[in-house]
Amino acid sequence: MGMDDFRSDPLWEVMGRARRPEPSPWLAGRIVAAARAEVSGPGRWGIGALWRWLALPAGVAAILLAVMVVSRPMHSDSAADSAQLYAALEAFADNAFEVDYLWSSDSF
Amino acid sequence: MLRVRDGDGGAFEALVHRHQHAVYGTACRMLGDAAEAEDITQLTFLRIHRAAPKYRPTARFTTWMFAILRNLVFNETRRRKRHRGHVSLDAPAEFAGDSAPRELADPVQTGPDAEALQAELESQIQAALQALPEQQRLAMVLLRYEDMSYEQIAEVLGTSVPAVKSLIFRAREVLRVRLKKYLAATKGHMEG
Repeated sequence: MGMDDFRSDPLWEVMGRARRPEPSPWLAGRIVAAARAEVSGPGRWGIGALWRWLALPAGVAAILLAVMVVSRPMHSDSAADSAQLYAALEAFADNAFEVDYLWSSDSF
Repeated sequence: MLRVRDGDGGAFEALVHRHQHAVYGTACRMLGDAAEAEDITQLTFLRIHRAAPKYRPTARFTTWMFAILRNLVFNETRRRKRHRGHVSLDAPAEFAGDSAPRELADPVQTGPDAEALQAELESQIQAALQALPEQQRLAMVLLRYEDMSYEQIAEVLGTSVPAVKSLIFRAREVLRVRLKKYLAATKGHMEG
């Protein structure tokens, strides 16, 4: 069975009656634009990547804070408890500041 | 492609314009969906663009390009299988249950609606191709529509020439059954 054998097969002729699917006239432009965007884009330090990096520490900080607030004895208002809560809030604020800083920096 | 490798942006644009029809046409025939075919075409060229700095002209560019397309298309068909579960696009026709071909319009009928007949024929050819397993389908599409040799198809599929011949042989058997009405009409025309 060779290719010439297939070319003389009516199946070859029938299949050849199907027109070639044509892409939209904007496809090439879209591809070239996407390639250019990849070259000049933010790469692996894009906004999406930054959010993935920040999601875990921010989530952990929020959970820790919630656990500390919930597990804090209702009757106690000692200075030690206040200091602990203050420290937790400070850690959370630091984290938020870091987020702010990264957002405003030129790194992405 | 060597100019693309050397960072010539205009060369990449020219390359896209030159090959987009072949890539899109093959993707469309493999997937049977215009929108997905455009997405796969875009991904193929972006991969070519990303790989350009490391490109070595050890094989024909089109063979390399179609090998990239093959990976993307096969990934897409596997993703579809996972998401659609029981609807297999790659099951051979004889196992496809209720997917028997519809009653075909008579291809030799001459009427005012030639465009409708042409669309019907194209739809039947597409359905017949979709009934083939993906390797047979790609081998057949590259042979018939991209005019590739068995050697080139073997390179694209990462297999041997005898294996390609076997794929084509089995694909022809299935397509003959699926398109028998059109084949009979064609034979009639040839004899008449």
